[in-house]
Amino acid sequence: MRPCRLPILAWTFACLTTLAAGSEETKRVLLLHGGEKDTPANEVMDRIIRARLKEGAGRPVEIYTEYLDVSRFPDKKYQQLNSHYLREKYAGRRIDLVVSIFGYMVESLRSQQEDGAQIFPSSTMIICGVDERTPGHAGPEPETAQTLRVFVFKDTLNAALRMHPGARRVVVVGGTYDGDKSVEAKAREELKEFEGRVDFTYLTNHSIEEILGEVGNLPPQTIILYLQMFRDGAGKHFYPKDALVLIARAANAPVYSLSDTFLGTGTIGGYVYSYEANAEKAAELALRVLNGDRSLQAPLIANGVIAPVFDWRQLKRFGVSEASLPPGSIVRYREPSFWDLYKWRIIGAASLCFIEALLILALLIQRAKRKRAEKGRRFLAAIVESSTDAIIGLNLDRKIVSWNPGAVKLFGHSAREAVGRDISMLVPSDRHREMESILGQVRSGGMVEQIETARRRKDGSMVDVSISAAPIQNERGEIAGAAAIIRDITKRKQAEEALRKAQAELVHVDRVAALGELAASIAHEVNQPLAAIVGNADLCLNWLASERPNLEEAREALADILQDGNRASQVLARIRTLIKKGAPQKASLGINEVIGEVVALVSHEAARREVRIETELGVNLPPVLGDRVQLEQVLLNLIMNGLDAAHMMADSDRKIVIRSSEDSAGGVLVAVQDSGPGIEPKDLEQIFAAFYTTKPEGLGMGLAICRSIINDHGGQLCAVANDGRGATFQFALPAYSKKVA
Amino acid sequence: MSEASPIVFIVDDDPSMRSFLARLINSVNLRCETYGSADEFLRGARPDAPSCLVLDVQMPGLSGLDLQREMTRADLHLPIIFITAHGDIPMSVQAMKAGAVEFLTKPFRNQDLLDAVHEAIRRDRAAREQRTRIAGLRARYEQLTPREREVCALVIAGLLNKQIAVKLGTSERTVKAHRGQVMQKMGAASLADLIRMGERLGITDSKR
Repeated sequence: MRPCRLPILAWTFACLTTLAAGSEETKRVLLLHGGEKDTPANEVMDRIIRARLKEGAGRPVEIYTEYLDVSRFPDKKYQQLNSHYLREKYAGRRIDLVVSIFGYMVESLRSQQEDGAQIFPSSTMIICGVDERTPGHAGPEPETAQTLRVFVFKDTLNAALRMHPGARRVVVVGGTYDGDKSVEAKAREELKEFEGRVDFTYLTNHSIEEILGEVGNLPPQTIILYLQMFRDGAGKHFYPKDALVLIARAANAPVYSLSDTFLGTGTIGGYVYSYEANAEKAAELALRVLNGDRSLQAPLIANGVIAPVFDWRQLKRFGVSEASLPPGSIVRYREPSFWDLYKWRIIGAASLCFIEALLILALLIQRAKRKRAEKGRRFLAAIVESSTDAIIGLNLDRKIVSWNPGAVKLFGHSAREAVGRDISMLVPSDRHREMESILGQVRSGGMVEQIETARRRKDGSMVDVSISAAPIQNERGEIAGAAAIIRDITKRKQAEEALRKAQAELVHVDRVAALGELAASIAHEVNQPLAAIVGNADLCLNWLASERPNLEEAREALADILQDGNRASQVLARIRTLIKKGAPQKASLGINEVIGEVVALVSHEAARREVRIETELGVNLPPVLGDRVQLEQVLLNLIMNGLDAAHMMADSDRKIVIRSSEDSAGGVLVAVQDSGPGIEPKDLEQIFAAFYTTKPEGLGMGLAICRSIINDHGGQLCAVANDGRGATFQFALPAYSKKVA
Repeated sequence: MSEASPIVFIVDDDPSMRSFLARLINSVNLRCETYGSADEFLRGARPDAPSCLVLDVQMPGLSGLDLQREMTRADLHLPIIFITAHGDIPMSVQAMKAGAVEFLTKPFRNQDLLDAVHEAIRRDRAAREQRTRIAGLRARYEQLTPREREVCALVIAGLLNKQIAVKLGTSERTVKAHRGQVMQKMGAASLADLIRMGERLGITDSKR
């Protein structure tokens, strides 16, 4: 009777509670675990379902939990006691939902008890994680929802054989508990199709010691498939995960398994059933029930979730490449590589190393540069030290800061004496302005190149030098001083002087030679007045000696003597000017006077050679600046050449025309035109070369010297062929204006 | 016949020299004419008087030696005294060969020139006389008939009358007559005289 009353009481109580709570009626849920609390699968499912119910019910939920530990207490008697216990325990409570995890007690709960009542009369039941083919559990029943546990041995083995292409043997390990056996049965059935390809060994009735012994000595090319083991062949109880731990630790082959709760224990993985996913599903169904979803009136089955999941560490251990894993595989326990773990530290350290390497490299380069620079500096220093030129460094205060051996040799001051002293100690008193100008130029950043001047030695003597100076910049690019290279040019000066003298000598020789050509006519010209003088004097003597001196005649004769004496003297004076040696003296000259002098000098010679000299002299010509003697020499040469040329012609019209005129530039143009045979165009330039001559007795220097004289006067001498016959030599001289001078 | 006073021609391009030479010539009371060049001299008039030429060798245009050549070509007989500033031997040899009286180098002694001038005038006077004489002979010779000239030439050649007659194809008598005419017309005192005349006139027997 009591059992009969209890539901009624419970229902009454439930109604009261419902009334009291109103819409916030508290729901009661019983989580009925067939296993034991420590079983990983139970733990996972309990945790997830509990959490989801609390979060998602939207009303108070009371959760009761029972762990029946049926794997360790499998006898029927114990089941009956459990039924009894539960009915008694929850007799006063209305349980709205029973979640049977792994389907234990389902039959007991469904079936009428001996007294015809049910244990939880008004409750909905969710059967969670039931094997799909577990007999008696698969049938759809009203008020029941099921989530299925699925083991897919086939897929796991397929994957394993792909991952171990050489595998020949498969060792299947299982237990002897009912659940173990039902799994084994399913496995055997599914794996039949692999027979022939691989050999199967079933270690499903062996004690754990035997199993461990076996799996530790497996031949190569073997894989292990672990089903589950609650109890070994010796009747020893395990949690399947604990057994797996032992087996995996002992095994020398990869251990494939079927449940995600096994992962991390040493199994390599496989197509594993996910208890977590199963629990989520169960929780979802449970919430629907609690929220009054009536669809659960009809049977509802949620499939289990299977996924290929592998343990990265085991893949590594057995050398399985991840490429051979089935598509969509999840790899867990990936040991973060050194890189993953210490990425930033590695990057940091590498960067540090890199930066340090760069730094070292930079330092090395710098060192090499410094060495090179040092070498370059030493080299430069050696150059400076060995230079025969004086190389002097100055600061901006004009103090000497460096003094090379060349300077010691040139000036006589030792480096110790010179350094620190003012540069002006080298400068003669009349050159201070020049020194200031050089320093000023260098201070403003300019260079001074080869200024020829003189400097004073220690002993006070002067030395001709050429000075080049350049600014010295400091690191900031500011001008910090000056470097001066001072070269002793005494020898060069001497050579130049000697050359100048030799040239002057040559010019003089040429002049004398030209006069030499005139010697005959000059002698004649002097002799003429002399003869007259001698004769007249003789006459005078006679007249004066006579008894009646003819004084009148004598006076006339004497007057003639005077005139002739002067005339002879003039001729000689003209010659003396040309013969005498002397430095050129330039003065303002009228070119026509110069021409006149020379024409006078050569007129007799021209007459002797039967050549007429005509002059066409310009009027009001500007004066030129020149040396009279040298310009006369040029004209003399040109006219004598003209005489020679004209004389070569047989005809009677032999003449030289001398012209002077103002040229387009305002200077003076002088032309000597002859009626000789002319000059071949190819020879027009050649004739000015030294030692070029067409005359047997000529030296060939005349025209070369003329050209150099005219150049020295700032003019140009050239030869042109005449339109008619003969050649014209002409030169232009710049006009001399006092303003310029 | 009264002889004109002698005259000295001076050709020198140098005015001083000309002036001095004129003074020197005048100092010995000789007339002189001065010219600056040979051309000028050739163009100038020459009075009919004993004369000579004082000639500078070196001159522009026609030189002294050129002038000498020119005068010879023109059959101008005038004794020449060359003066030169710097004469050389070949030049003087050439001048003397061509008939120069003297070749003086400047400066010369005045007396040397004057001596030369006097000698030259003397020579010119003699030459002039000679020329006058020959001119007289020629005039007489011009009077001979052609036959007489033939005879004259053969006589001078030394042929006997008989030989001349044979040669001319005539008689000895006729030859003798012609010979007499010749002697008379030519004013020859003797055969030797005639022969001398013939030499002076340059008569030769062209047919021989």
